[in-house]
Amino acid sequence: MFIKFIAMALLYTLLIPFSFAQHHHDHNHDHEVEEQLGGTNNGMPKNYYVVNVHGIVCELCAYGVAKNIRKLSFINAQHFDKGVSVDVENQRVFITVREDMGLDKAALFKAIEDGGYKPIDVTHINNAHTTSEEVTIKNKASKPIEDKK
Amino acid sequence: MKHLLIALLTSSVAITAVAHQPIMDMAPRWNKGYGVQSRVEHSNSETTTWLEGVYTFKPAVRMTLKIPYVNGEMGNAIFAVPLKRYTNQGPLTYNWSITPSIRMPTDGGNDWDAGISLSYSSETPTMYQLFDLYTLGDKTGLDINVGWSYPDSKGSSWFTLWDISAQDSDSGQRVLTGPVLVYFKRNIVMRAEYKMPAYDNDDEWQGNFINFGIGIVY
Repeated sequence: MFIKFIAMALLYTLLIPFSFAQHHHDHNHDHEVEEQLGGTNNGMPKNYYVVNVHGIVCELCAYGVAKNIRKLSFINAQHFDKGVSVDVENQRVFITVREDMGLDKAALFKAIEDGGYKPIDVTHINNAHTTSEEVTIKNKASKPIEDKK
Repeated sequence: MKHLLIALLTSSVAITAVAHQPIMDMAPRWNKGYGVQSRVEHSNSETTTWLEGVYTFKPAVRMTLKIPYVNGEMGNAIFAVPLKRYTNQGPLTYNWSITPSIRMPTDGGNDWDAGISLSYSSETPTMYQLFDLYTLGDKTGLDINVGWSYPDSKGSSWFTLWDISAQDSDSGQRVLTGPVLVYFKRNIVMRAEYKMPAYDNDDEWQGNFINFGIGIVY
């Protein structure tokens, strides 16, 4: 009886995460970015980056990744939480970058990987003008990010 | 005299905690991360205080040290090296681990014990599970934690888990089960659990198990 119970518990719990992985990402990207940041007209930065990071699903995970990112010299600590905000529900990291330095994508991705997670792409959100511009760079792409202000 | 003998026997039962999970399974996961934790266990009319430390060289390699104090006296410390293989897939992260360990005779005795465990854990924004099959000294066991997590996106999370711990040893077999509550606030972790015997054929075991711990990681 006990063996049967253990076997059922194992089967049940091994299947759970895969069912979650299947239906988690049906979201409206733009709307959620604004929700996460409290709206672009609410004193939030007009110029920031969004990094999609696979696996970053808990607040303690977020702590380690944010800690690594904050060590990067190009992070602008004046916005978000010392330059970094993590949305664990949607596995995204928001960062602000010093205007005089620009983003070093390789260093950013290494900081995330050293934190134990997998960076997928980074998107530049620029709301400095009336319309927003987005430039998404995939992880495996080699072209540099251009700051299109 | 009989009570003294029972106390001596049960004090060895109290130090059977799994060797490699000082601050749950997930932290510190980052390079050069470290943490400490203190736990108080009450079982078999004994109270054991554990001092635990962990250092993460890189996400795949950690080392842990757990030192028990039973009634104020140092017990046998456990040193372990968890080796993990992580996979990140969207809103899912999981890992397989193999953890060699040794129990050192820091209580003044001469007996060294070797152990190893195999474990699997996975986590999404809403659930967490851990399966750990271990052997250390004369003890072999299976520990299962399964439950739900509630991150608030402001730096804290609650976990409500159910724990099933089955163990076989020279003194018999037992299965304990009960609820676990875990709370994170930034880099501080608290864990409370209460387990009761679902099956008890262990000559050295009696009553329930209560555990409370608090730790911090950097």
